[in-house]
Amino acid sequence: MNGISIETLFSGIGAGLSITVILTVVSFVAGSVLAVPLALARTSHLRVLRWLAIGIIDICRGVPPLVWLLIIYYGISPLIALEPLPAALIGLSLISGAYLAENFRAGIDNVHKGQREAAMALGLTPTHQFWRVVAPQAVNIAMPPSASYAVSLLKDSAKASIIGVADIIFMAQLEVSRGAPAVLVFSIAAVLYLLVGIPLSYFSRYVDSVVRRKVVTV
Amino acid sequence: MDMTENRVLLNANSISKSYGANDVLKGISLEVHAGEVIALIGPSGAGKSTFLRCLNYLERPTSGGLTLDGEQVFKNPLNPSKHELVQLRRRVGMVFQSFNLFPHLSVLQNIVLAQTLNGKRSKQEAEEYAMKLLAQVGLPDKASAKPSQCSGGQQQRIAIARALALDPEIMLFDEPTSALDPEIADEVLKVMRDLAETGMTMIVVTHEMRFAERVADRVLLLDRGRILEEGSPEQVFTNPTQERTKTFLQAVLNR
Ligand SMILES: Nc1ncnc2c1ncn2[C@@H]1O[C@H](COP(=O)(O)OP(=O)(O)O)[C@@H](O)[C@H]1O
Ligand SMILES: [Mg+2]
Repeated sequence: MNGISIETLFSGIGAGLSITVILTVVSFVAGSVLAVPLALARTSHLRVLRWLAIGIIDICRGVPPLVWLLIIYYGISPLIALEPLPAALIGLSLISGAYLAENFRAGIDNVHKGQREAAMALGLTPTHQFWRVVAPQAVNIAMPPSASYAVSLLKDSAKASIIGVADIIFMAQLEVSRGAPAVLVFSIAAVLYLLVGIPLSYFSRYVDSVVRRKVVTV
Repeated sequence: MDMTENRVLLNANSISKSYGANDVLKGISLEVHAGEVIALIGPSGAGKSTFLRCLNYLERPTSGGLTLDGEQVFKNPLNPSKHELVQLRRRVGMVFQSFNLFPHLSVLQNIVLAQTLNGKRSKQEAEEYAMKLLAQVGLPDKASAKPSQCSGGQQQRIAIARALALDPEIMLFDEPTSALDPEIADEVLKVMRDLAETGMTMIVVTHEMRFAERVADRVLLLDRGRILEEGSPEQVFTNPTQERTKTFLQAVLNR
């Protein structure tokens, strides 16, 4: 165990921390962007769009994230020389897009129907009814579950190490292969996840308590 | 004081509405004169809300037509265009039993929103007008509050101001005080009485018989989708022609 101390292990494994954070943040943001058109299609009057959205959402959520990452990495990288990190970002963004779309959809459905009626009765166009009255309240309703989804996304990001993304787990495995004790190494990895995850959980509870005072639901 | 003019402002011509096999409205015709206040009373489930909602097409009648100020509202009443719907609703204001203020906006923004989105006024003009209306309903100091910080009676007065902001030609009220305690209902009823005195044309679905008696020019009793009784408050309340009217009035007055 030459040259192995808690400090060097922390800095070695910690080198993966920024990649873990990038995986989580980028997939969450990209997922939120993807989720908007998906949620709109999901609540559309057009049956074709609705079915299409349901299909995409169910497939994205139904296949385990690990399997998605493997399919995307091994399926696409031979074609266009895709690196592990972008492959993981694509996979995690698609998955979080599907989850967040369902949150937005539930948000839209749970805005009190009197809200849309009041907007209609005021002579707002259907576009204004949606974007100025329903959507802001739907986003408020969708925020708490979405913030708590960010915590699961952080944990799901660990699977990216399987396709070679140099995140916390990847760096941890590297240390183990160099002879560091596995229990110690993965405990340090756990501490690093908690370092990000616990503030995130607190933040999501905070969002929840703020939003509860801001919306009226059915 | 009767502000009624001779001009027919709103004409509902044989409005029917069915939900599947349930015929909720069975051909209701009504001429509303400019400045007239009509109280619509009747037992629960009679179709009062449905009728009111057919007048601004929140509910689409199964058959029947509407004219506003002598003009056909829809080229084809069974297939109204988006533009026609929006135009109708800008001329016909509505106040709901459950207020339905927008919780994500301040009181002022609630009143400003439709004015600016409809292109009626600039933001500054709309805000000034909103302040004037808030003063009219007795709530000038609530402009920056959120609806959730206002009492039920205050919320309903704000909802009235919000509807008035579009300068509607006629106002529809669907049981505006039914969700409120009696003392609080009075502050809303006072605002409505003041409004009637300005000459606003109003149709009010209500169980407040004293309000109907004092403020309405005409009382309609709706029962099972038909107008059962119609006349001045005095006629309907003291001299009803139908046995069912007597039963209904007795039940309401004994509550
Ligand atoms: N959206 C709807 N779908 C089906 N039935 C409805 C709907 N809205 C109202 N009804 C029915 O229409 C009848 C009249 O309802 P409503 O107009 O609300 O009565 P009121 O306001 O006089 O109490 C009731 O029997 C009610 O069940
Ligand atoms: Mg009703």
